[in-house]
Amino acid sequence: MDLDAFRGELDSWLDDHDAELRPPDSHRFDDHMAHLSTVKRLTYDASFMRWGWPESVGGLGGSTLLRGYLGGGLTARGLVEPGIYSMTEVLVPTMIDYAPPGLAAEMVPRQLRGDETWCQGFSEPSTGSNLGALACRATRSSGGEWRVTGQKVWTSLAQFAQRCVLLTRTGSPEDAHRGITAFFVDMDSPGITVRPIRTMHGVDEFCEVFFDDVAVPHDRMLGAEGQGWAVAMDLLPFERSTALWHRGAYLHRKLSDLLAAAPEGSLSAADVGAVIEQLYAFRARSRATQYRMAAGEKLGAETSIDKLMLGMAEQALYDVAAAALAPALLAGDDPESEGWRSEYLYSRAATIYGGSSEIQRNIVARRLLDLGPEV
Amino acid sequence: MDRDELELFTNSLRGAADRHAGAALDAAYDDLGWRDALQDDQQAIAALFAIQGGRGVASSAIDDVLLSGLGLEPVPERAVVMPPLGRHDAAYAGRTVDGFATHRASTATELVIVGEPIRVVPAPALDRRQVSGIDPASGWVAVSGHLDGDETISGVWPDALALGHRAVATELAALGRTMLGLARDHAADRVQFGRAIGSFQAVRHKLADALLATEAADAAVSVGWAEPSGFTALMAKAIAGRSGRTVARHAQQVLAGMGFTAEHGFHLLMKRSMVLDQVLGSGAALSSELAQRSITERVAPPMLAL
Repeated sequence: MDLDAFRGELDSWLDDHDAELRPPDSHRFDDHMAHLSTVKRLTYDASFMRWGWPESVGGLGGSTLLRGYLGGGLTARGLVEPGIYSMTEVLVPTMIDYAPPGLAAEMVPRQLRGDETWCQGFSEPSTGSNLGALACRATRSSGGEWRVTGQKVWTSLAQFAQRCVLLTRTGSPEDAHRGITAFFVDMDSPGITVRPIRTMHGVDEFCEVFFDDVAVPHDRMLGAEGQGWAVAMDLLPFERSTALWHRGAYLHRKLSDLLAAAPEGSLSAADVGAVIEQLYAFRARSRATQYRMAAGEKLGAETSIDKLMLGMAEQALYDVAAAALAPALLAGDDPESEGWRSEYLYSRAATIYGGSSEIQRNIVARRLLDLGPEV
Repeated sequence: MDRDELELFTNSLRGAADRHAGAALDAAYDDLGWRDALQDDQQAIAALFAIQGGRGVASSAIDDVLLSGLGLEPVPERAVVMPPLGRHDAAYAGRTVDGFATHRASTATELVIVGEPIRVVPAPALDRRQVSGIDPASGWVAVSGHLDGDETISGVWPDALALGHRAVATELAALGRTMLGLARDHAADRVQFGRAIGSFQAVRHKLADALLATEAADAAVSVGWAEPSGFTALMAKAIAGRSGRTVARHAQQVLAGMGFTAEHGFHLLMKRSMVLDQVLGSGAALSSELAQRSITERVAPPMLAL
């Protein structure tokens, strides 16, 4: 299916099924996770969710732009929250590229259909930005399986997840990024403890995850032993491409919502103009990234620009919202005010998660401006 | 133009912009067939303004672009009187002319004064003052005076304006990239405390932010050419203008004392960039005007779709 045909079919399908796809009028995260599964199931059964993914993992083939268009449509219409929806875009490409083919074919449809939630076990208490220093250890036992012991943190959706794409240290700490291996771990394995962390916006979005001598079969290794750094480096550009495109569509909707909700005289044209510019520039950039990806180009460090732009645009939008809607955002206890408050607070993380803006700038300076190593 | 022809044309333009500026550059563009090319293919316009911005040189090519946007024959004898700096609506109100022009206005025999409708007068009818100002190198001209005749000429200003916005935005984006390049090279070469200053994070992050702004401008400019409309042209102009301001600030700081001297080329780029940000409407005013409409109508402008 080409993009034009997909656009037409999806748009009318979304119009026709709006009632079933509309999220519940609830601020409980569990309700939104359950709703996400429903949306994925419906879009999968209507086959939209399968386009843009290879047939080897249950997809229907076609351009990756179809995925961008689907997620953009769902988020722009306010049917799903992009953060939880776009996890698929981050983790499925990794499975396609690095999982044993049988495992990818078995697992990916479950993720696309909303049967399962997956999480991404990268950060650790002592290694947030410095991923190469991670310490969660995997050791090969005499029986041939791997035993994992250690701790992860900031693991989004771990309390809902059936699987985890986990980075472990299999070499020595001195091996740094060369001694890392990735696994696809069942979250119901004995020895895993998940403790949700309450965020400042009142949502248990991420967790601490403890691994105490957890058995992981050898055939759950992603890539080869010691190849975990490559797995991670290939995954990160996905986090900064289609997932961001979806988020941009969502922010455009929020701008519309703000324009509709702002009291008379509360918005300055200069401030709103700056937000429009930033959102537009981000969209222009991110769309070009979508087309490069669709053309088969390998994405890399240049996606750090997309991430930086998105973070700045998002915070600029919510800064304007916080000023214009101050009484509601600060003191309103109705659902709409709670929504703005929660989203404003969440926007503060836009320059932190997925590699902080400082880390992104380091990447830009090193890789795109060729300024050599930092001292 | 096919790809090879465009590349050949672009290389010739580059050679011209390397050797000439001002009226001499106009003549060189002329020899290369620029006036035919611009009517034939908008890629030629994008190429020329990117090259001009890349070198920080001035020409009167914007006159040709606006004339062709108005459906008029772009000839050297005809100059365009653009709205005064910061504005984009008209270069006259009632019978009073107040406009801004390239150096071509000094030598042209006919002045095309933008607004609705488009007016046209013999050049000597208006006062044409050579602008020194902040950017004397570019040879800008301020045009003022009284309109005696009523002669108008067909042509739709908003259409020409959109084309002008795309051209100026392209030059601004390229100027920004050149400023960034100067700062980046300086940071890589300049040694303090026994190491290149580009190894200090404070410096690296300024340059990263400058690249961010440059990429934003390029992205908006590309969309402006690929999906031409008044809106995408305005966004390109506004974003490229803001980008120019951001890059200039960071580049200046990284270039430090060197970039503050008249001997270093940076200041010429910065000054031309400041003027271009105001030519055909200031970036800030354009974006505020757009935003005010959104605020009043409570509807966000259309966003780019896949």
